[in-house]
Amino acid sequence: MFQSDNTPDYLRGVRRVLLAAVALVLLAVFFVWRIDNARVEQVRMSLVDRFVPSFEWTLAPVTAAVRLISDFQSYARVYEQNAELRRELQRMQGWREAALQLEQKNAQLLALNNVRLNPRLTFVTAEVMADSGSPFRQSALINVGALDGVTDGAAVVDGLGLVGRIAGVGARSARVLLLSDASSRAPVFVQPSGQRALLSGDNRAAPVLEFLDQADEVRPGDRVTTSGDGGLFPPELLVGQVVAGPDGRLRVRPAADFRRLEFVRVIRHVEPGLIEGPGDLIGPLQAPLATPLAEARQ
Amino acid sequence: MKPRYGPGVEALTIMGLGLASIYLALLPLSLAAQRFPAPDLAFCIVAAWVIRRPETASFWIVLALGALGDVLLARPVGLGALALLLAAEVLRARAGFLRGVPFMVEWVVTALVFAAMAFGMDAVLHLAFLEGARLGTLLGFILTTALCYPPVVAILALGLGLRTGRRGRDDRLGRIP
Repeated sequence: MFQSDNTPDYLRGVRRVLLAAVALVLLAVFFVWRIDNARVEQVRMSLVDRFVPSFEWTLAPVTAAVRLISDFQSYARVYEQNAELRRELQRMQGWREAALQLEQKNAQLLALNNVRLNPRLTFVTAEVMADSGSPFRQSALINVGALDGVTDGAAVVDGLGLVGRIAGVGARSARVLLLSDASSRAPVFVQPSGQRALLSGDNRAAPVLEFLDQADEVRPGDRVTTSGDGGLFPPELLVGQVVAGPDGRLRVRPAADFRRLEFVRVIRHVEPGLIEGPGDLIGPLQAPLATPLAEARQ
Repeated sequence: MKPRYGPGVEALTIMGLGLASIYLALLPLSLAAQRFPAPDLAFCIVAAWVIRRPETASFWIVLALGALGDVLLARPVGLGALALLLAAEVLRARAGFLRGVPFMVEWVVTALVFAAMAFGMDAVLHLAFLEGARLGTLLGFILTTALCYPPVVAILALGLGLRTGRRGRDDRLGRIP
């Protein structure tokens, strides 16, 4: 492919036709992606699954080295940080006492009730392999996939709070759609006012709380957990704290630390079976009641 | 200026640099949403190379880099490659002119081409009823990429001897501008 100042005219013409043809093909690929998104994303995931794990062993050390350098820069502020940490430690000691008391109380109450807490929640821990690489997409690649029992839609948490959910599974890798991505929506529950809302990402660090019933009852500092509505996430996973954004909208600062995400847990959530009608022992199914339900489920 | 090591080696070099830029974008340094998004290094490298050596940064190499970036970097498939290809061809058609003008002019033209590319992609996304980027993120992306262009050019010039032959030296065709 030559193009320089002394290219003959006929070559330029050929070149222009070639460019137009390739542009049309690419545009067609884009529209196929737009129309049959699920299938093309599957192809993309299988390609990523082929390429990225093969150089995964280089990603981790390079990331560690770059982080080391940036940590080294922060040594300059070590004195201020130390003072800040001391103050925080003091506050935390108070909280620790409160937590211990609560834990004892909780254990007593659980023993009284003989509660089994969500026995179907198991998890698999994964390492974050790669970033999305695009400033307009907030996602991460992790090094577990279908072989490890990861399924689409599974919730992902770090040690503390919700990170996002699985969107795209390959054999040995999976993509996590972070809460901050513009296409991420999570049904949440705001405590203590007990309101349900939708947490929708907009490509900023703190996602927005939307569809609040009574926004004036929600205050900055309120605790936000997943509500389990729609079966999207298991209920009562910590999401974060309500903060008031600079634009006056209520946002949620995630409890998970997105800046330093190294290990995450993928929660394998098995839906509790839905009760669809009266059991056979009680009596025969009543036809007018049973059919609309059965149709709606299909 | 003739290619120092032959066209094959130069083609391999730009391929390697493009792959390295995709690799850098994949590093999970910080997963939080950034105020200033990471620059599009692949564009900087392709633009600088196309202006200085239009022959070795061939059409197919640019296409391959764009397509691979689309697949690996979670971009709309096909659209990113098309935008990179069109931007590279626009710059290639003006390569002779851009080699002759001062670097500031080249910088501004490249930044404008990148801005057109970013806004064009956003417009296509809107036309396809997809959610585009916020204006702030888009402008930040253009700004960081534009700021990244001079260092990339400096590294290519000092590290690989990729020069335009300005300031009275003979240019690629042996003329004294």
